[in-house]
Amino acid sequence: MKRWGKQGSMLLLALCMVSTMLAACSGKDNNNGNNGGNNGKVEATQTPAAGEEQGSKAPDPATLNIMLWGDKPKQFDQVVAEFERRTKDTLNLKLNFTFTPQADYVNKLKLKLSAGEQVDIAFDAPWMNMNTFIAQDNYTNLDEYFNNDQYPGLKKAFGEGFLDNNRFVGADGNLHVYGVPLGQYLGDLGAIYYRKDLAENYGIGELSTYEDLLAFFDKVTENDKGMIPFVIKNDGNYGAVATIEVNKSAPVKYEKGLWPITLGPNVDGTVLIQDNKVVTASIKGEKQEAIASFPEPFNQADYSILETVREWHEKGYIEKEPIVRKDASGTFSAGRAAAMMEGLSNLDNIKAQLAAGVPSAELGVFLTAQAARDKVQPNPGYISDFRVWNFLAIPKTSINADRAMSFINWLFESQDNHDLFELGIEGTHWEAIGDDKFKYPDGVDLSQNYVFPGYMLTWNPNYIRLSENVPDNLVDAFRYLADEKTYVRSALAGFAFNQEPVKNELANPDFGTISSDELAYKLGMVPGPAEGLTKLQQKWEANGRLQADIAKIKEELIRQTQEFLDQQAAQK
Amino acid sequence: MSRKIKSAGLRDLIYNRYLYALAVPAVLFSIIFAYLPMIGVSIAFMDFNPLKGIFGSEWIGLDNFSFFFRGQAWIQITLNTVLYNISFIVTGTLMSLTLAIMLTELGRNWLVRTMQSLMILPNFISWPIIGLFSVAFFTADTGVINSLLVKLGWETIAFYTDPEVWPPILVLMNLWKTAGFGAIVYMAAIVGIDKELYEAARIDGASRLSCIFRITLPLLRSTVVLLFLLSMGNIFGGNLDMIYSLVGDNTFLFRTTDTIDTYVFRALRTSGSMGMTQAIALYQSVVGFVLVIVANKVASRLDKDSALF
Repeated sequence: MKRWGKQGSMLLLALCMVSTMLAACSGKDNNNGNNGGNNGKVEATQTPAAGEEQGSKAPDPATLNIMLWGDKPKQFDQVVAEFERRTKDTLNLKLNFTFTPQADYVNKLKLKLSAGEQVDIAFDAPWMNMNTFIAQDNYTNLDEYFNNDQYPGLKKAFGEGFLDNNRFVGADGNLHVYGVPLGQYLGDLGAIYYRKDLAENYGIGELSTYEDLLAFFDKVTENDKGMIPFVIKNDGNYGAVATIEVNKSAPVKYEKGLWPITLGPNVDGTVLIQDNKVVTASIKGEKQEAIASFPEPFNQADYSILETVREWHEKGYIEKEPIVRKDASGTFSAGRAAAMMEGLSNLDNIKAQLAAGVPSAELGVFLTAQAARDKVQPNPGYISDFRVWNFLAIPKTSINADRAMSFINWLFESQDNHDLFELGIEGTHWEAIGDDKFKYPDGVDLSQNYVFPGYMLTWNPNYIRLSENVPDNLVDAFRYLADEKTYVRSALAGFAFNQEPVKNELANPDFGTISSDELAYKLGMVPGPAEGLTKLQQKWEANGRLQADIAKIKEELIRQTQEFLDQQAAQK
Repeated sequence: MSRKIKSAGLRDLIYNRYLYALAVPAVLFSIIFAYLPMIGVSIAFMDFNPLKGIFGSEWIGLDNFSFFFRGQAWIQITLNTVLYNISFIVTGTLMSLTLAIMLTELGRNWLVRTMQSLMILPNFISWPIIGLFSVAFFTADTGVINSLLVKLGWETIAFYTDPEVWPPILVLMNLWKTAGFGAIVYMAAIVGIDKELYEAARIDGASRLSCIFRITLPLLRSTVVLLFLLSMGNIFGGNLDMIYSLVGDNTFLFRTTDTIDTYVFRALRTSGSMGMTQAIALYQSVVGFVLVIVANKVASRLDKDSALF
């Protein structure tokens, strides 16, 4: 009895605590509700961006909370201070940037929002969290801000066509702008960065053909035993597969009506469209018979690329166990590898790192794809839905949506404004060369200089400045990349798969298993790829639950794509 | 009846108010940091939307749990998790006990103290750092171990493609990291044993070994059982930091190294559904809780003094 008494009094105490906490929580909830309701009204009334036109009167000071990912760039505070100085009388904004490591970013964003913290601008993308948040109606519809004379910067930098390609299906089932689209080019060119000094020693000189590249690998294996000819990443991206695939002459998939589509993390599909009808579709991991009705030669599995990867493994072009290679780029710049693959946009970084690691080295750049080297238009490797990859979104809880958009408007208003965040303070961090090039000032320590990953705040096709380091033959490559004619417009451009009806099926963890099963082959670590992959295919086919989930997703995919095609046809 | 209980409790509370006041900080601490967060458990049954919060999100029943059992691998993974934890508990306890007894038998001098410090040291090195170093030991081309094997004229071991070698490696690594630290608890318990017992035994002609087996070990029994019961709660925990640092996304090794935590981490890394992660965490804690209760029941059957409650 006495024991009960003690526990009773503790319980009392606990209840008191809980009730106060709950009261606090529900208070927060009410606030949220109000904010949501207000958003619509604020737009109708005075917009602070108009303050600039009024000129004399600066709006009330406000602080924007901006969430980006990765490490905070060096000297970033100086740039923000410069921004605040320049716009004191017009925008009167303080910027509070939060940088979060990439692995934690999405969770931190969700936690902040669920804790009721203010987030005014968040970096997000369909490959991250964006589709879910739009489906849950958590991001503000930004239609009003674009093509609006009160936001001249947005009007200037984002044309109707650009926006049309970057709309999302909202909770109301219609297409809206839910994020400010960020991107310079519709694709990135894969490039093999190699040691030109070594190539010259071997008598090959500058690499210009695929045969040169293979000869270079051969020479490295013969002459430099301790060096890895071609260092590849442990996730299989930008590696041997990517190199072999784009140098192999193969029939073009889209010409036969086969279009790729990403349905979810690790879930990839192919849709066969003929005469505006979805004939059939297949999803990675599905039974072999699913592709039987595809046009030749796509009606059977093709393992030839993975077999070539294994040959590279046997010849010693790639490491024995790339799966433990955590930092391929670092291995290259430390002089322990003769080549690696990266996006062309990283040229400057790689050049600086290699110069720091191996001062005597000379960097060569070889465009990986045959089509890119030949400047083929349209390039069959670039099937594009003309959508950019990254966006800036405004959570519905933000009370500063208008002010946030006025900041983004400022950012895209002029080349000067834009360059402040993309390149830093002119004269200190960079120097302009003409209208479209820049260089780093002499004597600047590149390892300490301001380098901003523009894809999460500033990238826009109208404001591209190339580094002076880009050699003339690569300037052509960038032009090629910027040209819309380079890209094949996907028959499904503008279509966004609505995951909601098959959410549980898409969450089947075995989709992840499929891609991890395959990884070993992409890295060339298993002998006899054709047999091994046939066995894997059998294993997936025997997985009843997975096949049932795939069937359901596929049914939904065919239904949604056909609906989309009908809609498109009706509009024409 | 109930009135009597209430008043008895109140009387006690008033009578011993200062004693109770001493407990207030601890009570507050556990309420705020252990009991209130339990409201979050409800996320496991929701289609959680961070903007709407715990009280606004939609209830979806057991959907979040079904994702884990959708995949084919869950039996293998659950088995791996439990087997690893059992072998960690058993080998860890044996090793810690042995170390503790050996060190106390050596007496107290600078050698013992140095050894003690060296044994504890690994406990403070984090798994990711050990993971980075381990690559230097295990890689095929340049690894220390394989270079040594080649020098000796033996066959090399393909550590990163052969799943069979990993269970012993993980058990050994875990011993190296935790056994020294675990020994401290036992050393403290041994110091607490009445020295007169040993003196009496010596007089009766007991050898050193029989002192250890007849006095030290029996008296350590309740400590061992206590620590065992506590570790039962984590038996479904997946040692994410350890296994992920050492193995990473190496698909070759998943058959023997994948545990609930690493599996869920990989499956949800990109989608990041809070509801699903919470569901798995709840599943792990509920099983852990049940196991602690059952083990405690068993312990109290066998020996009343050793049980927790």
